[in-house]
Amino acid sequence: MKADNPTALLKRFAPDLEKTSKLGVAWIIFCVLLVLLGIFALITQITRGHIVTGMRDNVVWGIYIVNFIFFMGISYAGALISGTLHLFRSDWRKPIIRMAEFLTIFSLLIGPLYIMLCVGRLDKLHYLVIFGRIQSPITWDVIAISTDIIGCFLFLYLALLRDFARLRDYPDLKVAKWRKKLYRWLAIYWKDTPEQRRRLERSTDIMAGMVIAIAIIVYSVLAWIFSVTLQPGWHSTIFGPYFVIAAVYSGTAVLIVIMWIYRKIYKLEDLITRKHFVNIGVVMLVLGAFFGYFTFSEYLTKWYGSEKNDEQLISILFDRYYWLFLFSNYAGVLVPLIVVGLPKLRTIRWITLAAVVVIVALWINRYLIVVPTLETPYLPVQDARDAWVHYRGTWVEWVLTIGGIGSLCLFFTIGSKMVPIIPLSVVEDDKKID
Amino acid sequence: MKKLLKYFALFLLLSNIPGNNLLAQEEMIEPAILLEYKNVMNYGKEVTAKIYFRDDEGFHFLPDLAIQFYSIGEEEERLLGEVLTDADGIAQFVISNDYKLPKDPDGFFTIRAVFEGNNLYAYYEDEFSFKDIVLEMDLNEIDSVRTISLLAYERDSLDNKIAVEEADVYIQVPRMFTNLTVSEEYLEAGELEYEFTVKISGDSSGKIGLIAFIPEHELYGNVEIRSHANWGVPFHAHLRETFGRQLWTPVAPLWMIITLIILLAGVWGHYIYSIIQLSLIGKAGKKMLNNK
Repeated sequence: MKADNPTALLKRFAPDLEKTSKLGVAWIIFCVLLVLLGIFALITQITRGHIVTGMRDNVVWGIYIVNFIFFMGISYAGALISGTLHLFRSDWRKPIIRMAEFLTIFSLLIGPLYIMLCVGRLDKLHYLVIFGRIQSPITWDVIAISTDIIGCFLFLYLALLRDFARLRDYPDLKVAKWRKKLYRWLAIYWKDTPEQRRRLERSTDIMAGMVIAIAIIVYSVLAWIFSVTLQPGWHSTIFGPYFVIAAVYSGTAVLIVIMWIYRKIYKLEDLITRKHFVNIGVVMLVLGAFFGYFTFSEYLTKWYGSEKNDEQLISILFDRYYWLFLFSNYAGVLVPLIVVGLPKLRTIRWITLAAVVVIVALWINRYLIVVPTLETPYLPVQDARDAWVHYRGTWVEWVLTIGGIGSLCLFFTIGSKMVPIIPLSVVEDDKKID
Repeated sequence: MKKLLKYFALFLLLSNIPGNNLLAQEEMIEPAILLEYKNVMNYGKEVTAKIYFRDDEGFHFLPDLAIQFYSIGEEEERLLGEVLTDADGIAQFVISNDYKLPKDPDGFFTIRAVFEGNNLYAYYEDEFSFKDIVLEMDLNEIDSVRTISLLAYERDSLDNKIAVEEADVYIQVPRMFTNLTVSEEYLEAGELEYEFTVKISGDSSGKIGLIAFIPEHELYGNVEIRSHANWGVPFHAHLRETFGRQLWTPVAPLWMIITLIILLAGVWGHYIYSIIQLSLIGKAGKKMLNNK
């Protein structure tokens, strides 16, 4: 089935939209269970307080903030990739652009929840808005993330509009009435007139540019939360671009894994080919090289400067976190470089495996940015218990992490049950658009 | 030969297993104690013991070790107390001025610091002997000249005052991190008069601390007396009444607010434009539907 025939594509995807296989139902139940498990851990944390986490007075941030950075990172990567692919109108983007859009919005819905888990008094969360100070990077982050969520929703809606209209107008689609109504409502009288096309194209172009810009700004703001403090390992001028590069790098890897999963589930071998994996793999390679360069530059200057606390931090990284540091900053950079760099290894399976390594490495990278720094205070901590000085994630934190991953999987599953994972409208000839 | 090789391989294997005690010869580490003494007239004798050992990697100061301090007399050995070393390997013990230490016929008292040893570190002890001294300091303004008068003497067995023959004396003023030496003087026949003409910042009323310090005297060790007087230059911090717009003030710096407004207006302006376009798309479709 050719990719440039939207009706044929819709016909192909219609059974998946109409019914869910037994395996599909089992998968959804599994994801829901993960989410419920996360809710149980959340209730435990709310009822018993933050004592159930590994966070203490000294190390005040842990796995939650790492998850926050990670999910926000892959969200911005999705925005950057989908926005760039849209603006460049590259032909090969068509089958993967929806996945990038989904990645943006779904991870953006999950990421901020983790920052709320770090807050001890959620009942006073609204004070952040009422008494928020513009000078505080936390306030910048609240403003930036909320602006970003709205922008990404708008961009996703613009991208989905024509598909909603197609789903509304497809007579053979046997879905529940509420879904038909929903498609009709979301399609807002789209009739594919030249005027509508022109307006939609203009809005989508603008929003594509905006999501790219916002992604860079928001992730830089997130980096500044760390870098404007004087903590060893955080106070760095390159943290903004370093975070942006790391975000896009990890997001690209997640996108590759998503492509691989959807390709297997929906048997999209004819639509998502080796070419797509290689192209995105090359993007990952370039980003990996940049990430490696930034990481090396960051640690070299700290090591060479030999400032007391930086030296202490580096000695912790090369002692207690030696293997994690090695995996994160060496394997995480070299594996994709080797896999995508060597033509013999440039296969779908190897590129996906390299992407998995990158995902794990980049998660650990964020952990190594957050935790060892907090374990390196300026004032010496004396006569303190080990748990106060060193951080170890508890089951509550790990279960909530798994709950987040379960939520992402569930959102993707529901998303691809509502609209085809391959955008119907994008496969139409772009030249039709004025 | 085969057997020999086998035993040799086994030896190599066993000797390389981490934590293997079969062949490893456990050796006790021999520490050392750096003993320091300062007789502060204001409260007593400070005895500081710093325990450490040295290897190829440098000095290692040993925390949480018990150091015992003894006073050694002619016929008796009196335990004064026991102190645990801190994170820097330091154990400090203060002997009050009221406490009478046993002395030898020449008037010397001896303090010994002892580390009993444990399964890791070997026994070590060190000691010193000094004589008691009395150092008195008077602060007077003689003919409008600020003068520090020092009197240093020791007492014999009959409680007679015997003037200290000679000693170096540093006149110091305590600052934030260390004591600032403002003059190095020489005390003769137990007396010294020093005219304090130094201009140095004090607190808001000009109050400063004053120290007379005899460093490393062969008979008396380090000796110190502290006092204070309003001889400094009064310091008044000239704080601005209003801070304006700063990071720490309730109102943010203007540039920050302007940047934020421009950014938000730019972004939200585009959002609104896109939403308007969406609404026009809907209207155009509805109009078309109605026309049909």
